[in-house]
Formats: sequence, C-alpha cells, structure tokens
Amino acid sequence: MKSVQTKANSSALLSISNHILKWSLPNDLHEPIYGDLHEQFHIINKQSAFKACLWLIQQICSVLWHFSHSTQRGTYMFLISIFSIIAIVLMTFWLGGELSMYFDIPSILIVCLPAILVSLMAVGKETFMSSFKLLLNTHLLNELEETNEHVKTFEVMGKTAMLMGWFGIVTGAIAIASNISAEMFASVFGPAFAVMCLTLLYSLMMKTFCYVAILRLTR
Amino acid sequence: MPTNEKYLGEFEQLILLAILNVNNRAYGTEIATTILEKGQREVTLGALYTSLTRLQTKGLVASEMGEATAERGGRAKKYFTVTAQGQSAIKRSLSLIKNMSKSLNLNKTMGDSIQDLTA
Repeated sequence: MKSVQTKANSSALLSISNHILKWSLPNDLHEPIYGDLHEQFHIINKQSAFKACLWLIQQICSVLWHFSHSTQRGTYMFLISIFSIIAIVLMTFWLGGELSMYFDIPSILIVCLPAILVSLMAVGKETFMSSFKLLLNTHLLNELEETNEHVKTFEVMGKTAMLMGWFGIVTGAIAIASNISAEMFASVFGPAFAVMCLTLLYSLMMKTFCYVAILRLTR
Repeated sequence: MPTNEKYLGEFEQLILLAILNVNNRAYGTEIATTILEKGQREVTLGALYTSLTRLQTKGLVASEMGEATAERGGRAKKYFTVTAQGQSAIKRSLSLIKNMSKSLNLNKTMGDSIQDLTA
C-alpha cells in the first residue's frame, strides 16, 4: 500500500516538474533535460524516495534559476509591473488613512462582475481563459501568429469596467441627491460621496490591469 | 595566439573534459556523473545545460538527439561532442595553466599530469 502511494507521489512530482520545465525551458531543451531528470530520479528513488524528492526539487529550482529569466522575461516583467502598481496603490491607500475605507464589496461587484461577464460574452470562454494563460507564458504567446482576439478580451473588460465605474458614480449621485436632507447633509454627505467614488476607483484599477495586459499581448 | 579568441571558464573546462572522458559523446546525466566521480563536484542540470548551450553557441560543442528510452519517460537523449575548435580551446586552456604553474615550483607530479593532457 505504502509503495503504491510512494509511486503515486513520485508520478505526481514528476508531472509537476514536467509542467515547470515546459514553462521555464527553451523548447529544444525540454525533452533532454526532462529525460535526464526522469532517469536520475528513478535511480535515486530506488535508494530513498525522500532523497529523490529533495534532489528533484533542487534540480527544478536550478533550472528555474538558470533559464526562466531569459525564456519568461516578458512574464516576469508583466508580474513586476502588476505588483508594483498594486504596491503603489496600497501605499496611497495607507497614506490616505485607514485601509478599510477603500474597500466596499458592492462597489467591487458593480465593476468587476459586468466587466468579466461582458468580456466572456464578447470573446467566448476558451479565448477568455487562454488570454490569462498567455499573460503568464511567453512560449504560448510566441507560438500565436496573432493575438487580436485575446487583446479584445482585455479591451472589452477594461472599457466595461470604466463604464460601470461611471455608472456607479452617477447612481450614487442620484441616490445621495434623492435621499439626503438638509439637516443631515454635513454628517452624511462625506461618507456617501466616498462610497460613490469607490466604483470609479475600482474601474480605474481594472482598466490599468487591462492596459498592462494589452501591452503584454501586443509586445 | 589570436587575441580575439576567448578563454574557457573553469566550469566550461570541466564540461569539455568530462565529454572527452566519455569517448567524446555524452549526454547530460553522463556529463554530470563524470564531473561528480572524477572532479568530486556536484553539478545541477540547470547549470550544466546553461554552459552547454553557451559552448554550443561558441562552436566548441555540437549536439545531436539520440534514442528515447523507457527509463527516461520516453524522452530522447541529447548527445554532446567536443568539436575540433573545442579541443583546441581546452588544449589552450590547459597549456595556459601549465605555463602559469611551471614557474611556481608546485608538485612536480601535477606539472607532469598537465603536460600529458596537453601533449
């Protein structure tokens, strides 16, 4: 029973390694390197399964270190861009005051859900899913002759998000104007206005992400 | 000696010598095992193939795909051979080491071993 489980674990680990190697290696090196790993792994596995796993992890890390920065440079730059934007946005939130005042679930739903659904409708589920995979895999991106459909995914998503952001602002303004009274204006207007602007904030964030994604795909 | 010819790094020398040790036709695992057994140095496949790719770009090694085996999960081997240019590069490097060490009065046995390799 234990040997069957060990064999299953080894197969799973080799399968994961295969995916990592496919992602990080140039196409002509994937087969020989994976073959070498497979061969050595089984030799070491006969002595100790634990040592074999450790050895395999070490080899995968080495391959990632030596190759991924050249084969997946675009992916890394994309991720660094996104994380930098997120970090700067969070920093501005933090400098502005409490982080909690920038989060409102209904506003997120007003912006994100329609943007995703309209984009799904415009390009179809397969193109939608593969567009995100393309952002994280330079090999797949290089294999495509044209990326117009995938660019359309993010164009539609970004535009819809902006429209929903303005929709949220206008809706909020109408709600404030209709419900607010002169007595409570001073105490209520500020927080209400802040929530009203959150939809535009989220739509801008989503539009920025889509802009960076389009740049990645059209590089 | 032409001034534009580049010298080999230490690891590149090890790789070329390892290939030559295996009758000048070796694949990744064989090269790594040879360096471990004869050089007492563990080598990761990432570092090995990076250097092999660089050596191939320089024209010092050539490669060809070999047979696939079940032990390798049905993947083919990539055999590397040291080209004539590679062999003169390694001879040049070993000759340089020999010349640099000659005047140092190091162990005479080591000097003789280097001389054998560059002969």
